Amino acid sequence: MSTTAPPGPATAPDPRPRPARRPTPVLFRVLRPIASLQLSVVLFAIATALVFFGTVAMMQKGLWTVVDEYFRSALVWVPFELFRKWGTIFLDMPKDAEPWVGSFPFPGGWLIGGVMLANLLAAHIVRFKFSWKRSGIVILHAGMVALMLGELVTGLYAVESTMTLKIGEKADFVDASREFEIAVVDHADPKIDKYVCVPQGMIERPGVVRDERLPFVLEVVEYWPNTEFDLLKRPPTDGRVLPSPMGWFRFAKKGEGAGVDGQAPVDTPSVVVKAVHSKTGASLGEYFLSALEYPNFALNHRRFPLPEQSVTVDGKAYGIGLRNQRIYKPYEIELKRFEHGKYPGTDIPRDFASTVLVKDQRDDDPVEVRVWMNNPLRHQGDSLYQHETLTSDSGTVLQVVRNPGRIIPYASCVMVTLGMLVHFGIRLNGFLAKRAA
Amino acid sequence: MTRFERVFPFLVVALFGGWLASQAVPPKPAEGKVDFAALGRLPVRDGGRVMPFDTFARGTLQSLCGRTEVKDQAGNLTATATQWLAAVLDSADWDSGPGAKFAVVRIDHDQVLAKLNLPRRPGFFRYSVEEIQPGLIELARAEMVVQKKKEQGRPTDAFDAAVSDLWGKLGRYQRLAQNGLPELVPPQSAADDWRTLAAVDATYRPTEEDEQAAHAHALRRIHREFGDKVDQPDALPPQEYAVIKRSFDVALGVAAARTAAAHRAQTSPAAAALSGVVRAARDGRADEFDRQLAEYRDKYLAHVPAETMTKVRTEDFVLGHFDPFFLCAELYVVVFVLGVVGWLGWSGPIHRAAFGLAVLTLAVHTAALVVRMYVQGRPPVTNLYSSAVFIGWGAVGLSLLLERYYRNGIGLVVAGVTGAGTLRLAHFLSSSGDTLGNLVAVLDTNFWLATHVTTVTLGYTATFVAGFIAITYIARGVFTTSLNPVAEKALGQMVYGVICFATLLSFVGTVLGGIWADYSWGRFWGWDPKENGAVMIVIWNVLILHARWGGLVKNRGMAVLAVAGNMITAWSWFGTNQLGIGLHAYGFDNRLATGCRYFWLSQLAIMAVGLLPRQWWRSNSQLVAGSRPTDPVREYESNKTIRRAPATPA
Repeated sequence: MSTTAPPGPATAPDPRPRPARRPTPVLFRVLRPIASLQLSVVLFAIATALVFFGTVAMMQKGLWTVVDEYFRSALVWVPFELFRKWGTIFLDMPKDAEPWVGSFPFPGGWLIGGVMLANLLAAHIVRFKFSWKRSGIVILHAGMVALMLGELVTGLYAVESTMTLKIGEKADFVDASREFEIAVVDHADPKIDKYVCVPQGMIERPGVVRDERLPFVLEVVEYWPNTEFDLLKRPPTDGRVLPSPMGWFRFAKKGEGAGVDGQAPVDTPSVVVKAVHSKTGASLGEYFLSALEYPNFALNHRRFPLPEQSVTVDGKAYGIGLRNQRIYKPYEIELKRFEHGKYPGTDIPRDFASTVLVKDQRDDDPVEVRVWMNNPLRHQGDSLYQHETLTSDSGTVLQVVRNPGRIIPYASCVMVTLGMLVHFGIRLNGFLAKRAA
Repeated sequence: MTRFERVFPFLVVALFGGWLASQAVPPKPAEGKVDFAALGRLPVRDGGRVMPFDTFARGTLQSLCGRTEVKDQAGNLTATATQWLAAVLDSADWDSGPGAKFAVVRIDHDQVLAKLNLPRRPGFFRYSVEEIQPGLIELARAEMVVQKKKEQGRPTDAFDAAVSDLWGKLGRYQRLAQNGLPELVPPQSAADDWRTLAAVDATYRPTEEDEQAAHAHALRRIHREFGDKVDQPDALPPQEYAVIKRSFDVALGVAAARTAAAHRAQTSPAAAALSGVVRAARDGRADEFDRQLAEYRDKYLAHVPAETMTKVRTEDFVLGHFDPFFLCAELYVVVFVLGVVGWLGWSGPIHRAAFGLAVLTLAVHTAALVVRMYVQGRPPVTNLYSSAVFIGWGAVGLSLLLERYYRNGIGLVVAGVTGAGTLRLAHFLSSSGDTLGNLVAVLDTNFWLATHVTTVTLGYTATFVAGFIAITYIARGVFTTSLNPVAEKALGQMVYGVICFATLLSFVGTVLGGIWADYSWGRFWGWDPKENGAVMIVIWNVLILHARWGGLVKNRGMAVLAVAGNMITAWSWFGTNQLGIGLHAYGFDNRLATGCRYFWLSQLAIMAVGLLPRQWWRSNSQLVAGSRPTDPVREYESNKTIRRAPATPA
């Protein structure tokens, strides 16, 4: 492991005293402790524990909240209550006992990943020596670095969204899956709707939203990360209520859905806002806006015809609503056909497939493509997947993902696998040769 | 080597081979008795899959009572699955027909038993539909309460879960008796599809006479049951009226169903022929059964594709009455016993016998797996059940490979334990339904099932094998004096090599899963509990390897860490599934969670034993102890034995 010995022919044990060591460069003296294998082992142990805590945490919190708090963070406070919850399942502890209070700090995914990266790079700098024997190790660790960076890129830049289409409909925008916005719309021009949108960051906390294009100011009163609702035949006397042709929707605040509920749960955010006239300061009323009103929202999917709410200022009406953040695309998708195959004599789904017409803005020649399970459409840096179906197969929901780091895991996996095969192959070969001797 | 020592392994293998062959011969019915095995080979369709009648019967029975045959309280066989199903099918009065006498409904919740006014039967727990029938109204009320709770989102308890479970079982039983299950009638033309007898009967249009007769029958029935007061319905209190009216409607339905059934010759000759076969079997008329069965097979199965028929026959022959995985589980126990006995002495012949037997068993295991793949048209792992069967197969194969290199009995013992253990587990898991059932849309891809699922499952397998070798190491070191330095070195190498293999497979498998996820929903890594479980296995294996490379652990420490690997693998395989299921309902089927708990506790105990100071190990004198002063003579002696120690420890 010595880094100072000059390269030379390997010799038998030398009885003479060793020549005086050249002083170790400062860089190496700093790097050596960082490069230690002990540190690697400790990091692996901590990482195992973190993944375990995060998984158990999904009993309480939404999957993506856990990902943000545990895996994409520097530090996480792990509540003791997790262990009680875990115990109710595996240790037969009573479900309705008092929750355990308190929590302890634990390194988060980004901290562990960062230190691991440092450890790995330092180790390779300190111990770097090119030889066939070590080639596998070098390749596989380079692959691991790429894999970690890929997850970092995904965590920072990937955008997941959906596109909801009934048969015959077309769209040139997608709805971001986990970001919401308040959209105020001016329907005055019969040709084009003009939107003013308030992004998620401005509506999560109470505050005032001002925009010159609007004649009124919005005051965020309260933001609900998740909402439960029921549909009633008669107008209820309590709760937040929105009328619809189907009946009265009653809303109540609710905790986040848990991440272990089989499929990733969808949280329904809602927000309470007050509209105030910009000039006169007169109140224009309080509005309860729920993402459920948005026809493309995952729990609505065109099932609930909740009418658009509107703010009237000086005789002019503006539509207002909470919706998934809208992202426009340089292409347009039209749904031609939708197929839903079932196994004979059952309701077990066998296949979902959407046949769509893809039309680029520049390109006038639309292309027909069939998108089905495990067979996405890759187009202009986006991947479009068959995701869900609308009621009675009247349309489709495509998942649209844009991930600049999409290709990194592929490359890194090939490298790691290759590296392991080379390394273990060399070792096995040596071992077998020794046994044969 | 004496002659006997040479011949002994062959004798053992021949003995068990003969036993296996005897199990493979289909049972012949006694003269004049109905050939139920022939009935069991007929095709039926359920859940979209055409399968043997007997497979359907076993599956249904398994879901009702956790057994694949009917036994009485003393443990005597009262009916095979096919016999039972023949008795149950086609009885319009489902709760009093011939099938209602078999004790096949498992109830083990005391409160539910009290509600139904049934005696407790500890250790047996099974009741006949006839016995449950008087308590049905009480049960229906309890079920309504549960439904209400669920609708209002109130928490349910273990009693509620037991009520719902029983209600579901009885519903299934009723559908069976009233022909709503399975699809028995094969297609009779290219455009035709499989139909249930109920669907056939529904096409019958009753005549006016039929309706009058049914009405008269229903009237007679309530007369018998409630007396003459039914003649003045207006004078009855409303509640009693409702009860009588219900009874009347039920009797009317039964009569209508009987009439429709009697006219099957018109509605569907195939259905008539089939119900004739079932009736003849039920009534024990052997000659008529043979005649009708032959006619049915000749005339009415023409439109079932030949390939389907071959699959049904193969499935019945190999996976049905032969029950290969069950037999394999027993043989693996023998392998384990022989492996351990071989360590006590006469190890050469015994271990060779065990190896031969293990290879034979693995061959049967492999053949059965291949048949499953052929019948389902899928790669080996499609559900939890098949993952257990496959992990067992991989673990035995890997252990035998090790045994072939090391010839020290360790591979045999590990093969025996993992083979028998996983197949017993598979038997337990099979109670959740058809193990060859159809797959939902996202899983409908043989490519990813073959690559990702198979590789990641093999990763679990290798991790388990490393863990079990480590257990062998600890057990032999602490409790026996057989762990000499040669054995220790071999064991260490085995654990290390298998962990390398496990790291590679679990990493590649996990990554392939990521690529599949990228193809099916555009997310390479989704952090869901199952994925996290898989990545924990990878990280843990990597940890062991680095700890060993860094000199942080030697053989013993590696063994202890590998046992911890067993815990993590169990968590990933079963634990993560329990999180979601166990989150909401109280009385969910927690047997898997309980199983995990005991497994984890056992592994923790083994790790604790492995961490006992070396001087407490019984093999300590065998291992050259550098840490404490030793008797020089003894040390010399032990060194001598080391030098002479054969590859196979005595």
